[in-house]
Amino acid sequence: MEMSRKAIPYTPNTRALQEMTLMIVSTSGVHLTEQEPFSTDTAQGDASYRIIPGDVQASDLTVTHAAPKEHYNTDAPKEDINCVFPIDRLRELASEGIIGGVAEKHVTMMGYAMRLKQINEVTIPAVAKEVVRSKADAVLLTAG
Amino acid sequence: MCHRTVVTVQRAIEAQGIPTTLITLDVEQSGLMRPPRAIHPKGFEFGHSLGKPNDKETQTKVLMAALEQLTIKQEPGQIHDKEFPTY
Repeated sequence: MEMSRKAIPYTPNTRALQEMTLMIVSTSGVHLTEQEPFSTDTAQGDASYRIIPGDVQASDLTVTHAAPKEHYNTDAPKEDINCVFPIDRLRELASEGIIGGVAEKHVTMMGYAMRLKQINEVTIPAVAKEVVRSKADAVLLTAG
Repeated sequence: MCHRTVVTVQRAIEAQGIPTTLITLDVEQSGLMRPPRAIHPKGFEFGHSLGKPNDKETQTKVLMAALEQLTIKQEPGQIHDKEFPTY
């Protein structure tokens, strides 16, 4: 999926938010407490991704990220995951009818790995495929 | 680093025909990769993409500002600065 930075992919959207199901894709290092944490080995990073089930409870999520604490302090999202992964806020908007719904799954990664080639050629296409296979109409991205 | 990779992911999803919107706190890193749609909450610390812990009000405002970008026809590649006085 080589693309020049100059040509920016852009999919026009004609739908209203009330008709759209939203998915979260985040590089903030969020994962289920029961999933394997992302690697904090700063020399290697971590090119893997995690699928977060749509019915997850915010309290079952945590954050592991290799970035130095002075750059990305994970204390805030560990206290309230909605700081970087706004699952409860999206559900509130869905129950108020402001958005159509919340997707049946979400995708998270750390987005930091020495093996950039692996991220670009393996991880990112796999994440895009997860989104395409889902029922999501649009994606909200966060980075931490 | 994660603020750059996130845009590569965003672009890959957008290229599959699914509209995307990004909240970024690092305009320099994200801007290099030219995101299809993005907002930048001004003055937020890393780890506070949507606001501080348990600040439901700010988190909702930031989320709405990001989602609204999906409904605005625009030239892609811009990062819109947004002020959130309740932060």
